[in-house]
Amino acid sequence: MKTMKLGTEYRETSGKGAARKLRSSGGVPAVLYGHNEDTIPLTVSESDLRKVFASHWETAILSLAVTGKVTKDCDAIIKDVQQHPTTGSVIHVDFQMIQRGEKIKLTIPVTLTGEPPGVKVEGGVLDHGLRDLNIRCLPRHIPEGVEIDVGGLGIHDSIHIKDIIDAHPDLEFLDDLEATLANVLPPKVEAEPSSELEEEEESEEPEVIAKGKEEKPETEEKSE
Amino acid sequence: MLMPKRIKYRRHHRGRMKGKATRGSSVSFGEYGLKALEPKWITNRQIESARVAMTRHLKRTGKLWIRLFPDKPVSKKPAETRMGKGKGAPEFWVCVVKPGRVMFELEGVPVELAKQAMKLAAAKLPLKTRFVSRSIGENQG
Repeated sequence: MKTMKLGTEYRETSGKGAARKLRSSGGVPAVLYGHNEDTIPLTVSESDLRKVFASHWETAILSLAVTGKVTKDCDAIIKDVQQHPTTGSVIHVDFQMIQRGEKIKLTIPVTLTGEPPGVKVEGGVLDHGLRDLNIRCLPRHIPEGVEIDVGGLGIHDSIHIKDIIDAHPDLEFLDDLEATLANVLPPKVEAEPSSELEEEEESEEPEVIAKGKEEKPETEEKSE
Repeated sequence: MLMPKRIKYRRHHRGRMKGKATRGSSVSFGEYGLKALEPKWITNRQIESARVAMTRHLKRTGKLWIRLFPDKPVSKKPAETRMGKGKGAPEFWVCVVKPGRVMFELEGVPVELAKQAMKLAAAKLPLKTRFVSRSIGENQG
């Protein structure tokens, strides 16, 4: 578990116009909520957020200091991050307050370590299944992530969530226990002619789903 | 080449490509992706061409996801035909791509190899693209 400090300011404005102005001046709109707590709109500096995202932010506990009209000091996790679809910049952040002794739900990253013999020797492909796991635990038990050693996997071998439960007794896994975390797939055998682009024109047309009565294929779309 | 197996209507309107991709705009399956930065129609031939370019460069290592499907038929009138007499016959299939759409994803290969493969794929596509990865803050441009 990693702890970081983050300074925030109470945000008095709302709406897309105000949010756009805020983003153009180097801020990011955010919101802070928690169990039995009122929601607080916030502004966070983009440069400060970048430092947070540079490390294990998914599982970090942030010491938030809210200044401005409302002041508050609390611990929180980053619950959600919205990014711009093309630029990738962070456009909104959700913080969730945490209370000592109260279990919280969060998402932790899964990392694979080692090189499986199925890949090294047999030429298979390591398939990373779930990359994030939904867990419930006490704040003091939040891990930085789940590390899985795939050093012993041959072709068709896999590791599921149920295989790692014993190694993490403090965590309650909320995903399907049969879900695959890592899997070694056999090497691909590519059908040669299918990859050629110079194939003859595919004249085969898809089948038209007839609606209700029988329709003539050419005239049916005229009334479309 | 990719095309639907069954369709409801043989001919579609052209439609518009306003706005940005609200879905499919983040890397969801693999480690790296190729993101569209412009709106464009991508044909099934272009998708296939990009796929072949990537798989050849990767020499069958890694895993590739194609997150496009050409489900829109484009019709064309034959050459030297007078106007009228109805809409032309379906000629090819396209996928409507809006800015922000992650079109291809890769995993199981080193980042430099993935970048090279995506570059070769991007050369087969009619739009500006960017190589992206999963981490937040790295994909800003």
